[in-house]
Amino acid sequence: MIVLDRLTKRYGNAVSVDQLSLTVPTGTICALVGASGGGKTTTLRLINRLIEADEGRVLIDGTDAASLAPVALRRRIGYVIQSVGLFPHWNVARNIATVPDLLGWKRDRIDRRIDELLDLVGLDPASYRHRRPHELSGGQQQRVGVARALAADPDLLLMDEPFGALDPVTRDGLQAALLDIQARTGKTIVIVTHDIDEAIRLASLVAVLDGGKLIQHGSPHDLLARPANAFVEAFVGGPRRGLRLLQVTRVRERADFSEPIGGTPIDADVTLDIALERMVTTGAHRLPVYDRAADRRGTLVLAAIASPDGRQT
Amino acid sequence: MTSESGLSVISPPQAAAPQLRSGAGRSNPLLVLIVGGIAAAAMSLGFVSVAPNRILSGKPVALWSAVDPGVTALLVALIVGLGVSAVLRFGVWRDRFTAIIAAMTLLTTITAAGQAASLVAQASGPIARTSLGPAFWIIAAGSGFALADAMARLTRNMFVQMVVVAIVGGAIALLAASGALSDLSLAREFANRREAYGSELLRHLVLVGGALAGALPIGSLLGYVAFRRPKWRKALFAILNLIQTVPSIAIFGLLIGPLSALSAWLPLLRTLGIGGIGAAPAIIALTLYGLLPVARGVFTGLASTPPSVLDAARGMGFDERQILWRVSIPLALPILVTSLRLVVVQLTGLAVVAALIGAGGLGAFIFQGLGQTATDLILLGALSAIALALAADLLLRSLAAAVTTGASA
Repeated sequence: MIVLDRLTKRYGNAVSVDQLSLTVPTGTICALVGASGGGKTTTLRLINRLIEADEGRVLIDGTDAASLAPVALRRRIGYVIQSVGLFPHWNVARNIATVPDLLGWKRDRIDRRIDELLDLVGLDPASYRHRRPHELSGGQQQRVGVARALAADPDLLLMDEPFGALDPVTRDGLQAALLDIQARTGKTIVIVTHDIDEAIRLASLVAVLDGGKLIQHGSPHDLLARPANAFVEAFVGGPRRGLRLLQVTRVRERADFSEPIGGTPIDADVTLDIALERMVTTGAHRLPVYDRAADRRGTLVLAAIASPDGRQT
Repeated sequence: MTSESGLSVISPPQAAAPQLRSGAGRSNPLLVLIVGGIAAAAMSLGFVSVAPNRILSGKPVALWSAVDPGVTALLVALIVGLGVSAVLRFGVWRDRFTAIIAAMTLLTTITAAGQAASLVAQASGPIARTSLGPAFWIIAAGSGFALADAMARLTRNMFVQMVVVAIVGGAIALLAASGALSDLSLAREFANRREAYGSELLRHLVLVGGALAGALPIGSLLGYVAFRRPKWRKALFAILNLIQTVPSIAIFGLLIGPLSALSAWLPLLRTLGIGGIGAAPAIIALTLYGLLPVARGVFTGLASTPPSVLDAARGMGFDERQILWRVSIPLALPILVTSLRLVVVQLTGLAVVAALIGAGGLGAFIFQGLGQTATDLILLGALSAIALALAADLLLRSLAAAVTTGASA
């Protein structure tokens, strides 16, 4: 569990991060979002002490980060940045081995770990181990960047706009890979992004920062359904907020399981945007629903998609 | 920083050939100019200059009167060959042909000069002096340029270029060793000072080496300080720039006073040979000149580490020393070797002036020659210093190529 406790960072008279408190439970992905200059990156760098806080504490699983040597602290925390920053004079394997090398792991353990990680990020070890960074595409470089950050099996991963410089297709692939990696490894991840869709897709906890202050935090659904103020409302989508709300709401929340109908059912765990898309393309006003977990059948009607309380009016 | 394989280097002229085959501009205009210059010089200027003795000034003798008709014919044929290659269309084979013909022209010209001197010695006795004339220099320089130009087109691989230089240089050394050049005035000057030559050459290397031993560590330290302490950077480079603008003679002169005073005060220094004149002030002055290029190179090299790489390195948990040794210095290596090359070449040239304050070195021959109005003695010193600088340049260029390939491939 990561606890940020009244963190403050000033530059001269300007306050970059202002009395920020936030708790990130173990094994969750937390997105720090907001406009540029809002203090997202500064907050991230306060966690691994690339920037030292003026006030406040960072507790990592109960340990005050300030009680550790910065270098030792950083070797325990994975770090991924937008510009990747692979070491250009080292091949992929040596880049990934960076932190294990620093920690003095044995050679054969490092070699096994490199292959494991290349598999994890979806690069074939045999053909990528010995390549140089300049021989890789942007997406491949960031996959190696993620593998390098995970090398020493840190419990916490910090990512600063990791997919911001990639084209949409590559970004989509890497987001899927990250979700898969998180599901398999159970890492706690704090990710900075200015892309609300990325935050909605990846994070279970979204924290909106503005002017160095934490404005609102909660699940993507909380933020979309009940934005705390106009800034959050504008940030989470303005006119597109309703559409994004569909992306974070599951069919089971709006389906009526008392009246099953026939036909090919839609999974109760898919989100409403997919159900709506099916209705629009097939011209149907109602869809059969199958809830795998409870082994029950039901119906989703078009009007229920629009209605927040799940009932037709 | 892309690595160059032999294939990819040779392919551009091949790729260009089809476009040039049909169009204008088939010829190599530089080579046309060189061949024209060579031909004009060979016809109108003296190939060698013959004097009755070392003191009197010589009279120019044209190529065809100076050497055997056979040698003249061979040289003319080679120059014509060079002219033909100048108007051939672009291509690998054209450049290979040019390189071979140019190398043969260079070697034949040197052989011809040696023969001319031998003929003069047979006819007029050993006191007569044969110096190299303007036509010789123009043919030698022209064919040298043609060779360098063709090599530059053929390959950017430093090791191949080194081998070619070694072959041509070795052939000239063989010619000299066989005695074919011994009657040239230049060779006589060398023969008269054979023992001094070795020790002065060594002395020259000691001056440059001593200055490097001072300038490399001190300059590196200053460059590192400039990198670490931005506040000091401006003042530091202002001072180093100022040193660079002071004429070398002035620095030598300025050092005489304090160093003589110092050695008068500390007799121990005098027994070590440190005084107002000699090697000590020369090495100190050369060290001062070496500081700027070394410091500038170290600063530029260290400052060139990409910010994203630095951020990643810090975020991974490198400490500052690990960043320096594992990241910044390896990435700066090509820049560091390049500045080493610049400083070695610069100091090799500057060390010539050190002879003025009794430090010896190849400059000693130049100043003796100036005193005796013996052009060939001046030439002996100057050519040796140039050859030394070129050799150092070539060697360090290869090293730079090696570390660049190592860093990027």
